[in-house]
Amino acid sequence: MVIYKFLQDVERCIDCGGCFAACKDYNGVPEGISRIRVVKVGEGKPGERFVAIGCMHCTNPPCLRACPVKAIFKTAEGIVLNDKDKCIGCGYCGWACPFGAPKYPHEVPEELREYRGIMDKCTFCTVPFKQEKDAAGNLILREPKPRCVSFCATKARLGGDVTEITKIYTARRAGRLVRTQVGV
Amino acid sequence: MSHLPHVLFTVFTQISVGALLSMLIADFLAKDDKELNFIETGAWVSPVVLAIGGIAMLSHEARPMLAATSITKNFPTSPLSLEAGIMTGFGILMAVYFLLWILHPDYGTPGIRRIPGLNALAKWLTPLRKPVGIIGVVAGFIFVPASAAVYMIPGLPGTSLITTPIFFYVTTLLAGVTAVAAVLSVKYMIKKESEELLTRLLWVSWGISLIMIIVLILAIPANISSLKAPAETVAASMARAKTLEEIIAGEWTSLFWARLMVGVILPIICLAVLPFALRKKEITKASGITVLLFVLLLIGEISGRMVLLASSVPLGEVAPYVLSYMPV
Repeated sequence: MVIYKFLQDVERCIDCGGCFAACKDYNGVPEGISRIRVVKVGEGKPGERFVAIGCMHCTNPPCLRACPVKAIFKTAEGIVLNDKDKCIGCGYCGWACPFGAPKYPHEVPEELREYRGIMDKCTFCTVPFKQEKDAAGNLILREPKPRCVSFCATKARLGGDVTEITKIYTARRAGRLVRTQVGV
Repeated sequence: MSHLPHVLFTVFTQISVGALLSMLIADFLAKDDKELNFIETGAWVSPVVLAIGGIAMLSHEARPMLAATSITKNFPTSPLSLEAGIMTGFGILMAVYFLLWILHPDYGTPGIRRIPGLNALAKWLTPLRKPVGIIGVVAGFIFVPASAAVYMIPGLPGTSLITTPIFFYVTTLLAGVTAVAAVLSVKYMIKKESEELLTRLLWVSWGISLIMIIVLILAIPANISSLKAPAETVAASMARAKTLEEIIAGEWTSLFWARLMVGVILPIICLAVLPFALRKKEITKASGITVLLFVLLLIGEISGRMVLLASSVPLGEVAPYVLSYMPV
């Protein structure tokens, strides 16, 4: 069973904004909100870091538990999604989320008017901002290939099968540790 | 002012619970049909304020109609669903109690009490009115902590404190109970009737208000102290620290102090003066003080709730900065 997760290698992020732009472009996220943001840690000080924050697709998502209308659900692959047709825009998931991932667009173009105030967040690039459903009423999902990961210039943003990305990250950390120890 | 719907919803629904309690007390205090006819006006307070609170909340939702029909779907895990569900239960009981008042053929609301069939049914069901009221108050007193639980989730460390339900109960018993007393005081000032009953009710209202003001005086510093205390996680501690900063040296500081003046100090003066008027049987003066007390408490509670909810910094806003504490 493949479980999808994100992992952020803060040593590599340079705050280029590529993840933000790629996400908005691919998912048609309107102006005013974003599914990912880059947070500066210790700005202007030695050891300054940049961390891309979005939905972490939690194993036990607090937003899912908090949602009063059961609009938020989790796929078998661990991707946390929101059915916008069920969402009432109460904002409670935004309070429940420790990462501040859910966003509520209030200024949207006319063609997206039905989504005004309705929660939007990272879908692992499986669902664009304007969601579509099949005849049975199920969300039409694209392949889970997050654009923030594929467009990350420094490969700081890792995303995919949790086993694979953990291996990559562990190897990187081990390499860094060796370099630190030998003084390179 | 995006917190205004939450503020109005919580304050007005809690006033509704307190008003039902106050009305029930008045119901027990009334001795004859004349007195029952006098207090009947008070039965309108609870449904009217509940409706205001409900409308305020639904107006904030992106899809109000969908919210009204589906918000109780996630009863087992969502505090918001639980709150809405219990509120519905309270609302139904309160509505039955209200209808049994206004439809009663002898002392119901003029015009409404003449509806044929319904008035006879209301009279036949009158023995059930007080039991329904008691169950309604119990449901209301369960609703209050359920409402507080909505703000006591890990994502909101600033309100995830024991003082939150205390504040909610204070609103219920302070502004809610005084609301009915104020409405009946206005009626007394216009009609000058049922002086004895009103005096008894004002004494009860005064006693409850005095106790609740003391609780409020203790709860405010307790809330500040709780925000200073370290929380379970670094992120939660930071969120609480930022919440405290918002209250004592931030955007909500002016309102915090204004609330202390309008919602605590001035009501204490009213409560200090009220017994003298009641002992001297100056009921018109006592009524005026009660109306003033209610207005002050209403403004105070709305301001206090605004400070409580709007200053609370969600974990999602501070968690990213906590990453600086983590080893890279």
